[in-house]
Amino acid sequence: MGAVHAKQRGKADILEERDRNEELQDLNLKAKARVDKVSFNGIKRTKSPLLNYAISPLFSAKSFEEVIKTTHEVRTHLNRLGIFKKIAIDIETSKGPESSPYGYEVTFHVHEVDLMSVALSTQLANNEALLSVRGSLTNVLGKAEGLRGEYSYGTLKTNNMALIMSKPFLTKLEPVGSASIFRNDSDWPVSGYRLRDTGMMLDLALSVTSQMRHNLQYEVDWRQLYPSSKYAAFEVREDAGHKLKSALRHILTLDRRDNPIFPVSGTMLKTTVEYSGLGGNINFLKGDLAMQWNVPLIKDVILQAGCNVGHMYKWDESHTVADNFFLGGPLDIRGFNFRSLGPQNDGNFVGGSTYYAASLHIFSPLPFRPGEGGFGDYFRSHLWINAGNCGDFTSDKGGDNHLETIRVAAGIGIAFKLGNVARTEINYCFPLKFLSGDGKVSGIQFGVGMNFL
Amino acid sequence: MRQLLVDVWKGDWGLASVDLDCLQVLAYLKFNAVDFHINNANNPFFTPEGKFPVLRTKGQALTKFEDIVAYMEEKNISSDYGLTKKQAAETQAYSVLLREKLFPALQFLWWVDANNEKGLTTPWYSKVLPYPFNFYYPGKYKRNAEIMIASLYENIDDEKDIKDKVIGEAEKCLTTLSVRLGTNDFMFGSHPTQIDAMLYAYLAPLLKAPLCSTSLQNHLKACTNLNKFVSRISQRYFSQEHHEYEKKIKNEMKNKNDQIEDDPDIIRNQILAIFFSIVTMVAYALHTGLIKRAT
Amino acid sequence: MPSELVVNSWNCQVTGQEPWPDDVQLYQPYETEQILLPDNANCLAVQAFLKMCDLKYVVEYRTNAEEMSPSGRVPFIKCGACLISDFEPITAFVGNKGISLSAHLSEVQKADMRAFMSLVTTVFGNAENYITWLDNSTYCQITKPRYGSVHPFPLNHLLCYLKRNTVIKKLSVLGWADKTLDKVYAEVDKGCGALSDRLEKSKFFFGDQPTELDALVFGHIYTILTTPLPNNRLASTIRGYPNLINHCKIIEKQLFDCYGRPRKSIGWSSTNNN
Repeated sequence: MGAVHAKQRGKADILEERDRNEELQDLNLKAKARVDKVSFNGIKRTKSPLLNYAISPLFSAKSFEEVIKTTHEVRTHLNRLGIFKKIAIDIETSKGPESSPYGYEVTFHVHEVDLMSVALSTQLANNEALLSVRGSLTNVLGKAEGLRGEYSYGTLKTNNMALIMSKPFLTKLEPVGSASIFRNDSDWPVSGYRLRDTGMMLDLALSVTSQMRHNLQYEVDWRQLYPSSKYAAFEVREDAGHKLKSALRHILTLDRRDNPIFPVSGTMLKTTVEYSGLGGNINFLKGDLAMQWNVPLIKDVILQAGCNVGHMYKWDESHTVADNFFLGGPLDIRGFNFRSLGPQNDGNFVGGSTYYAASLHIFSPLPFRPGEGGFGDYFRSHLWINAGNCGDFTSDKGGDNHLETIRVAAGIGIAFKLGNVARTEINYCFPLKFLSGDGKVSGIQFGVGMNFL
Repeated sequence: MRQLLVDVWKGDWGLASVDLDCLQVLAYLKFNAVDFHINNANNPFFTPEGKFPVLRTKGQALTKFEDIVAYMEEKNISSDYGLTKKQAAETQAYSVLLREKLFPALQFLWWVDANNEKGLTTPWYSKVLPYPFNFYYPGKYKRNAEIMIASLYENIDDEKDIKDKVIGEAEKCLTTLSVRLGTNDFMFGSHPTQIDAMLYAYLAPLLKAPLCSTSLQNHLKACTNLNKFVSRISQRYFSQEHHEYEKKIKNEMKNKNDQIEDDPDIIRNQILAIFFSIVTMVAYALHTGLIKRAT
Repeated sequence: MPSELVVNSWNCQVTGQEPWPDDVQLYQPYETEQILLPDNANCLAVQAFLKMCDLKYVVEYRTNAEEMSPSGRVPFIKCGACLISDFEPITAFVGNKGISLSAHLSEVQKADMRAFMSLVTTVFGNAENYITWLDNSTYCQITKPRYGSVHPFPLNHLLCYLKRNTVIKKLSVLGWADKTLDKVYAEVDKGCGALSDRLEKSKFFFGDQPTELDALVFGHIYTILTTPLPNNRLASTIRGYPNLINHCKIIEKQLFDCYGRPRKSIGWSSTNNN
């Protein structure tokens, strides 16, 4: 048995798994088996209750196949706790006086993450350079608790600070509770306002399966909104001042894709429902839906379809411009600048209470496949078309014309994987349908982000 | 009356003191023909309130202008006895106007404006203050001025906008003062009063200081009656400082002229020196074989 | 194209020559439950000025008027695309349209007027701020409940605290924060004395017609007299100057009676007999 290295599931993993499965064919998978003993190598801080809980499924395995499978599941679980850098597994027949006839011994060779870590990094997001410092204490008390501090400073007044405390609970659904306090400064000159959010959030994450997750969140947010300049639209200026948002949020994530950045197959569904108005003075109910399908067409050529829809119900005037939906930019409607389509007021894009956007991509590896199997795998070329609209659409007066003002753009570009969390795109855009006031981009557009449409 | 002693920041540029508060008190005392001695103390660390001026009399040390005026009134000395009630009210109004509009601009020009602060104010105070206070006070004054400007204009982010606003207010104020003074010798006729002492203290340093950022100074220079007002007081009441400074400037001009006359010699000497050094170097190079004659 | 929302009066000179439009709005906080003494004085002064000029405007009450204002101070007026806040810039803006209350004055009188306006804003403005934010009983009984009234918990406490710090900082820069309460009343008394001496027996400060100075003095004095505070020493200080009270009454009658705007009635009792 070779060592199984903990790794993000990717193509390499699949191949490795396949190899292993072939190897396993030689063994009798249905052979009766049980786990006699599980041991850990390399544990320094982690406490036994956590480990006991994590490995408990192993003892119910009845065949060799089940042993292998549960071992894999346990490894995934341990991985998700984020307290081990490296996990290797040995499975051997048990020896010694206490061994049972079909007994096996499972040994986890682990390498714990350092207690303290500090990282300094620079990143590009929303066309802004950010310098961030991150400090974290991992597994402080030995039960996978974490304390994380983040500070990032941007060139365009974006300024984020957060302190996050998290703790997993050892019950069904693997709940992880976290509490955070934050302060975020953001500047949106296109929308005519600057925003400072200061507040705290409680989050409870429940994993129903490894692909389906619920997040229940409660957020209290003190919002300070300022006109970004003396030229800000008066409508935006009217929203200036202090507000308190107290909101309850539910997020359902169902991710069946094989890779979050460059999926080959699978679907993704994410719904967010947010109710604001538990105290505070911002009232609304907001729903947001994001979907993605990936279909492999022919060898290595993938068709991807995505769709985002959002709507906000508001029953009074307590919401501000910052609560609206905005559309545009390289992460959703390529071919337009950030937030540069939809309702405008005195030259500021003020967003709307409804938006929808859809995209269709054909991804393929780079032509002629330079660096295949290595560096080249970080790149994809894609052909795309996306469309969407944003505004305060009303259904009375015999329907409205939002389909007539739908924005469409198409283009071609190269996408690049940054680590396993972010993606960079360089596109050549052809806006096909737009209105005269829109901030369209015909030509090269550059985008960095985590969630692309 | 026993002779009074006034501790002040030292004078420069033909002024008895470069500091607004000091100059105000000095001018007021001079107007009232009080016999007093000026002491260029130049270190506010040992003063009762950490600032100048300090008027020392028997058992008392007065710092505030109002207190000094009140003290003088107790001794039946006041420049304002001839004023009507209405004029006294005007004195009060104009003193507030100066404080509200002109004072922030002076603080801005002296300590917040980087050109002046680096080119004039901080070097001046660093030179005058004894070690180690010269490392402390300029920074402190700069911080105080910055806090003042920041909290008066808290809603303006852009530095240039702040500058425009501060200087604009001050220019309007100068124009108002110039209009009010008109062709009079002093604010209320031919005799100087308390308000003239204040006005002189605000205007004279702004007019005389060799500032690097000169926009407001130029505006003041354009108000000729205010100019004349300042030189009138300088000549009449601070004649000694005034003449000394003029003499000094004349000497400097003369020295400069002398230097220019010397110039031909200097240039000749320099050319000779360069020539000799080149010859020596070439000779050395030839001697050691660094340069070889083509053979 | 972004429309030019100009903030400072000197930026507005380009558009200044257009006549006074009909849809001018004046933004200020709610009078009955929110506004504080210093803001109320400034709002009333501007309203009095606009009425003296016979200019049309509509008052818009907003809880966030302070944050909407380009200068962070109330009131501000919206005239077309221009936003102008504070008394002096508003008078300058109106002046650019060729409307002025002080056109008939000589240049020297105008200079005097400016000096006295400076006196009124400095002395009354700082004293009002001092009493509103630094005097403990006023702060707890009046300022905190009113200023916090438009915000939900816990912002009502937090914002009040932050605003108090800002005001203290500003007053300390101006040399007012370390004054005692008695000294503040003494300053007000001194300021009133100067105004009273300047006014003498005349109807207005400069002859028979009101000027900007009259509007400003009216705004402050009327507000101080009609605002209930835990300690009425501020009002009683002013009541020591009958000619100022009289001046205030004349303007109240002329402006607000003929416009029929209901206002709090002034407590004249102590001076009616004079």
